[in-house]
Order: sequence, then structure tokens, then C-alpha cells
Amino acid sequence: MTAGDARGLYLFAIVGSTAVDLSGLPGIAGGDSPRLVGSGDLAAVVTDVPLSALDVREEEVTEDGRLARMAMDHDTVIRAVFEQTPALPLRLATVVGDEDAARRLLEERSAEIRDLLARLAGHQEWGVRLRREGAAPDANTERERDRAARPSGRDYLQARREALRASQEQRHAVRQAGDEVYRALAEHATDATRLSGGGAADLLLNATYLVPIAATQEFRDVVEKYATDLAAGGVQVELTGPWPPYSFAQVTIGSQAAADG
Amino acid sequence: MTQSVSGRNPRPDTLADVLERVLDKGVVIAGDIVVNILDIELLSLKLRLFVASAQTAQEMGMDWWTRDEFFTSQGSGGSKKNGEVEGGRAPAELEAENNQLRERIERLEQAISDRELPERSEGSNRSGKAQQEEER
Repeated sequence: MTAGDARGLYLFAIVGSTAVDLSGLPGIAGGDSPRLVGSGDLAAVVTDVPLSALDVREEEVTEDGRLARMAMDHDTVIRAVFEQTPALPLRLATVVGDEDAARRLLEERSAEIRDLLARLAGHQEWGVRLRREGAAPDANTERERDRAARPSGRDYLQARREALRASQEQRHAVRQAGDEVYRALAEHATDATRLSGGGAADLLLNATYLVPIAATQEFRDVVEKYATDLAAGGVQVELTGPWPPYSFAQVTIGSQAAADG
Repeated sequence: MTQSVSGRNPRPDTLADVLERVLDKGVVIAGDIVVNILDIELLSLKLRLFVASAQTAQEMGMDWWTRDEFFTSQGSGGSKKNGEVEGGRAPAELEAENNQLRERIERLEQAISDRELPERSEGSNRSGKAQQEEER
């Protein structure tokens, strides 16, 4: 892999400003606080890192392991920068050789960088999750009660049929609610995307939105409205944010090798 | 630029929230400038496995591994590490099975109740079902 003492420059983010206060922020792997490397009006937020620090072994991949801490530090720095100026978050563990390489990147890719910065400027990312609380408890409690009361077969079947219809309707409504909320909120956002829902059965929606800062209150009001409306149906609405626009900066800059320097 | 939004603050972000945002996201820089050090994608996938408890991860929808034989085969012994995985079996697997069974029962009950079967009073549910099978 990499030589033990080799060092690199870890890149957190690219900003369109050379006036960013980075004091007190963590480095990576306990390293120095981040600093700016500028080229014209663009700058990269960087810190020195021994490459060996990024050589994470599989057995270190744990909740409080090096990779998890790196992710937290990465987020802490990007967030602090983002609170001061529009910032392009870079992929975790983006490392260049030295400051010259960082400057070269800013120069060669300045057009792409400026475009992206302009697109994301004045926006924040907000996450919205819809979760069904205690999936279909009604059908189960109903079943228990029936069992306890030992009703006639006919009563039982009738009750079951009603419960069935209710639970089917509820399930359908709940699925629709996820789509409806996703679309409705998207109307108050510049961009929207659904994050992986995995296989979680109770997760009706896991979406994230790129919201103009000026429209934040409006967006949150709509979220609030749905939270109130859906609470009656046992659906919980979770809001996270504001985030730097991680989910809307999934772009590759410099698709052809920038090696001609 | 810090926008303090009035009203209640959203809940504080957890490690799982942060990882969901940070892993595999952000601008990728292609080309020779970037030093390729580690297979961060692969490692970050593995990290998801360990994020908080299996419960939290599942809440995040990051439970893909529960369907991965490699991981679930270890879980069947009820290992300490996955302590929160109930009974040692993958929750998603159980959930899926439960849902399937529940739907089957619902279909059966629906079929029975549609026919009413009024005169075949009481009896056990078992015999009701059995007789219905015979009728087919």
C-alpha cells in the first residue's frame, strides 16, 4: 500500500471564498486544524494527513472506529465551512499530493466548480423521513381480544373481515401518503431525491431536499402540516437538517484525466 | 449564512444520520491529481454494518446486510456483537416471513368469511378450514 511516512493533503470542501474562519475545527485522524489553499477566488479546505492514517483496516471498521471518526470530522468541518459560505462537499477521503496539486485542481476545474457552486448557493439540504409507528397494531390487538372473548365463529369472521378491510385500506393509504408527501415537499424545493429505504418495512419515505434558504420556513411549515395530519394515522414525520448539500453534490469533476500539468 | 430557523429545532443528528449523508456522497474528483489510498467505498459499506445498533441501522434503512448470507450466518448463533438482533435471526428476514404469513392468513380468513359458513356453527377453526379445503 502506501509508505509509512508519506503525507498527503486531505480535501474537505471547495469554496468560492478565501475568507473562511477555520479556527478550532478538527483535522483528520487527530491531525492539524484545516486551512485554506486558494487559487484566485476559489479555495480548498485542506489539512495535512499521513497517508497511513487513512489506511483503515477492516477490523477497525466499527461504530467508533477510525472510519466513523473520519466521517464525523469530515462532516464537522464541512458543516462549519458551509455555515459561512457556499461549499462543495468532497467525497470522504479525497486526498491530493500537496498544495500545488490542490491549486492545479482549482485552476483546471474552475469552470465546473463555479457552476456547481452557483447551483447550490443559497440552498440547504433537509432530510425527511416518514415512519409508521408500530406497524398495524390494530389487527393484532383485535385478534387478541377476539381470542379472549371467544366469540362465535360468525362474529369472529365478521370482525376479522372488518379489521382486514380496515388494515388493507390503511396500508394503501399509508403507502400513498409517502408518495404524496414526497411530491408535495418537492414543490417547495429546488431539487429532491429519495435515499435508500433499504428493506425497512416501516419506513414509508426517506427523502432529501435541496431547499432555498429563503424558502426554509415555508418548507418547514409544510413538513409541520404533514406531521400533524399524519400523526393521527400513526405515521411519524422526522426532519433532519440543515445539511450541507451532500446529496446534491454527487458529481464527478474532471472526468478526463487532469494530468497534463 | 447560518440560517436560524424559528420554531422547534429538528432532532439532533445521530452518527447514523451523518453517515447516511457523508458516505458515498459529495463531489468526486477524477483524474491523476487525487491520491488513491483506500477503497473507501467498500469500507464505508462495511461501516454501515456496525453503525450503532442493528436497530438504528434498520431505522435508517441500512439493513441490506441482513439479507447477506455472510452476515446472517454469523447471526444465527445470537452473537454478542449483534446483540440487538432479536433471536439472532435477521430482522428483515423475519419481518418478510411474518408479512408473508400474515398475508396468507388474511387471504385464508377472507376466503372463509366470504363464504360465511353460517350453519357450520362453531367447531374449531381447524375443521372449518379443513372442510373448506375438501369442498374445492
